[in-house]
Amino acid sequence: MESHGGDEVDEAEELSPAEALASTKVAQEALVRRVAVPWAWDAFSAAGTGIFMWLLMEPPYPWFMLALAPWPIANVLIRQARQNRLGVAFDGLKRRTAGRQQWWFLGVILAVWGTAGVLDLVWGHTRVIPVAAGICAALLFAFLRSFNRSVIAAIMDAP
Amino acid sequence: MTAPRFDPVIHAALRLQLCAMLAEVDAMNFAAARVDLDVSDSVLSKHVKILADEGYVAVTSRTSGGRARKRLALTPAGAEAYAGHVAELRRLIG
Repeated sequence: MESHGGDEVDEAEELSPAEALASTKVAQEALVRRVAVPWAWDAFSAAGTGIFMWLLMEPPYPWFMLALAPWPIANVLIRQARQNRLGVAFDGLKRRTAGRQQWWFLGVILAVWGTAGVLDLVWGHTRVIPVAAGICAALLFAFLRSFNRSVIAAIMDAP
Repeated sequence: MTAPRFDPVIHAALRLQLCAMLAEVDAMNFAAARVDLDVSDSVLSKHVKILADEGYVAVTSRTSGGRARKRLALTPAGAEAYAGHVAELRRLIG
């Protein structure tokens, strides 16, 4: 990005409309580089919440409920760590990326929750379960990566 | 659809770029904006103050990890002004 290194406020700098629009693209590209990695945090958070919900409703042992207690706290810490690392917050509902992220996040939670239930029901008593879990994790990874790229493309195409 | 409206406060190069970034997020750390815009603290502070005085940017401070972090966010008025300004630029270009 072009440097604005001086200490003066560049009130006098005149930009043509085309230059001004181009400068917004440059700024958004810088933002894209900054937010290019949050899907890893979000994926972990969403998948963990899905597993949390499943274990909450289908605990293998009654005492297992106690082991779930730290997850909501961990979820908050993950979100704070992501925001501190990126320097950017996507908490609200009003921005383009946040809005899409909300639906994606909810989708992953429900998908993980449902998948865990089906896997347990069908293969829970067999040795196939680790293989099925691995395939599901790979598909989830591919989907999240694709989504992350689409979010970046949406920012790049913004007016 | 926001009505096209040229806004001289936003049109300055650095302020336009800052608004372009803030329009895409809920909030951004001052330090992150400074790095992405490649400016000094003092220059960015002056531009942020101009936008804040106009009611376009909200500046909040919070402590995280023992360090004070200043966060910038576009206000609803700022978001509307930025959208109107971009619409006007696009109209001028045709």
